[in-house]
Amino acid sequence: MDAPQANGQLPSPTGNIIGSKSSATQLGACDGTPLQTIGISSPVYHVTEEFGDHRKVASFYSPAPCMTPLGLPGVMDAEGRVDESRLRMHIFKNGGVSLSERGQVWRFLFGMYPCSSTSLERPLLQEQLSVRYHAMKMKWHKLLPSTIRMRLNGTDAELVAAVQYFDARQERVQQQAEDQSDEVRERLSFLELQAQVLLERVTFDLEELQEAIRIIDKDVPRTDRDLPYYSAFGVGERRLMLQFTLKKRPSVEETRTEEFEEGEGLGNLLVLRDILITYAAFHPEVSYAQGMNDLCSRFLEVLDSEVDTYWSFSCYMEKFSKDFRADGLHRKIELEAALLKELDPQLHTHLITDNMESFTFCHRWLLLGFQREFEHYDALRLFEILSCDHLELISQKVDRARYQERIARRHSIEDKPVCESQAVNTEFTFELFICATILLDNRDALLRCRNDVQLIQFANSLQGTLDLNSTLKKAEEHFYNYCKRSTWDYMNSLCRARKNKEDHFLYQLRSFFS
Amino acid sequence: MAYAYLFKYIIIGDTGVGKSCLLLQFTDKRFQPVHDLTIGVEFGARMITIDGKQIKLQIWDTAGQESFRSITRSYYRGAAGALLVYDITRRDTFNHLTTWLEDARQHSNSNMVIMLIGNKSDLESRREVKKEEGEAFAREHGLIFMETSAKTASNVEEAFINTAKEIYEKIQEGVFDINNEANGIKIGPQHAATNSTLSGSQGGQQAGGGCC
Repeated sequence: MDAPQANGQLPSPTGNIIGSKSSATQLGACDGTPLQTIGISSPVYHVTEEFGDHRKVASFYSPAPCMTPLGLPGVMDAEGRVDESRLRMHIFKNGGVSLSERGQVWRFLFGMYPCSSTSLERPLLQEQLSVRYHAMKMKWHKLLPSTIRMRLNGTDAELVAAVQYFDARQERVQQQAEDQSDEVRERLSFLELQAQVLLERVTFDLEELQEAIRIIDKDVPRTDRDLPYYSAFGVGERRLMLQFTLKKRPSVEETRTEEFEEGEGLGNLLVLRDILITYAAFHPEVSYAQGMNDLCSRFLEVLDSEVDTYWSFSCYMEKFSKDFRADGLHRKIELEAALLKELDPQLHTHLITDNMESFTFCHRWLLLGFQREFEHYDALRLFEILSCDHLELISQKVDRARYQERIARRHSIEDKPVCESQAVNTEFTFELFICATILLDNRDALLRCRNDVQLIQFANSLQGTLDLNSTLKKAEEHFYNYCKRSTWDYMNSLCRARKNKEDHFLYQLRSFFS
Repeated sequence: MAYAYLFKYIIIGDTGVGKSCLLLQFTDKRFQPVHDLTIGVEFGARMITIDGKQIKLQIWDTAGQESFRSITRSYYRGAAGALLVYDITRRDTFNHLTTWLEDARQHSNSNMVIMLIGNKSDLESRREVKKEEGEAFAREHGLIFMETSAKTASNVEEAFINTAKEIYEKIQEGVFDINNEANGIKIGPQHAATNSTLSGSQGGQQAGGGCC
């Protein structure tokens, strides 16, 4: 069993910067620059955050999160390292974190920042990730220049305006890049060179990528358009725009009189597009599949930064890209069926009869993490709770301990090996328990369903109606009851296998689980 | 509501050609310019009248992308009609028709009536596929053809209803075994009530125009 998201496990981008505190110190020492200032002084990769709360389009890179300490009690040490298991436990026990903490928590939770990194190291990492992402994006830009701009058929006026706005914004960012100091430029060009060397060998199947872009361009315009994050413009953005043009903080009058630039709000959709294309280009084995737009959109809304969304989404996909392949999702659906068989054999038998496409009605729930079943912010919170893997990690830990104990026993006693069944199926994730809880909660309705049509109607009728807190509570109960029962069964089989009196303690142990 | 027959339809075709919008226009008579992406399958229903008979159309709207194909394919089974949709402003969606057709024929019953639909006919200025090409493709593969606009509702009713008519005719000709639900046709309570003395397949022929 894989241990998901181990400390410090980051896909490729961290390279040699992170890893140890000493390497960062050395880096800082070599040019005498205090580390705190490195990275955040470069205007290329971020738009100023002065009006951060009101800004509408995600910045390319926002420096704030890597510097701010996490407010959760006992989770971060003085140097800024995060106690990963405490973080996960905090999320689980508190049913998610607050909106204001979410962005920073996710940067650790999904692994963009290794939990072992310090607050001195993170700005460096952030800068490296920014440069690397930028180089990746430029690579497909260069190979497929015709796809840089989103293809539109002109029927979506809002989006046409957004594309124009986005183009203008890209130019501004470019201009900023040219205006920076020599020192910053030198450092960045070194990182750029490093990134280019790394990407040199990467080749694309251009035909496949174009096909992916074609679908992304169909999907992005219909992603979360009803969310405020993607809707038309906000006041802050207008101020920010003025700040660009006036090169100073605009006065109230100026804010009032200046005409609003069209299309900014939807600009976030274009940021989403760039992230998805870059991901597809550099992960040809996964490419793009529908549903990724919805998932990635969550990251963008929460992190509000193009670079951070890309890397966090990529980390997430390392674990879950299989869900977007037919076999991966089938496996998940099978597991759901197996779990329900454990929890409610009668309901399970009913759902696998001939005229039901056994459990495919749960497909969307499991693919999108119940995104359409709960209210938007509840769904985000659920996604966070499911991603913290708290219960799964505990059960895996127990499983590993048991395994080691078994090995030790085999070495010490010349016992004939006992064929032991697995006590708890660790493939039953908490997500599957949430799904099972929804099914069990609607047991009567499901038992009345006689065919696929009724099942799909049932699944559709739940959209936006479920209560998260009660679902979580029940799912947790089901999870514990399942573990308890499985453990009792397991202890029971042990008791039966060894009948001698020395194992009296096993009987006692068993009684704990009854 | 009582119906004489129930026909099961599927809507298939590339992603973004307007499958869900066609369904929404047909069932709700409205157009939603930004429609949620279909994940897996969705579902809609509407009653129509053919030959004086109430017929319930039960329509399965499928996701267009390859990654969902294994899920959506299972719904091909037991469909009496299929709307195969492409977008007249995107040549690639027309080029993929052969694959869709093979897929549909392979996973559904052989009598399934297939209607080829060139959607987005309101976007004449952006047309990439000529009407004649659609007609030729339909002729070559034995399909019925129509250009529609889910936006203006042009031909949308006709597309769904003509397909139903064709199925209805096949029932009259005895091509479909309506007692086998795997063919995507179900005899409804109304039919059973008005023709209680007749067996199902004869009832269709006898009662023509007889009931409201």
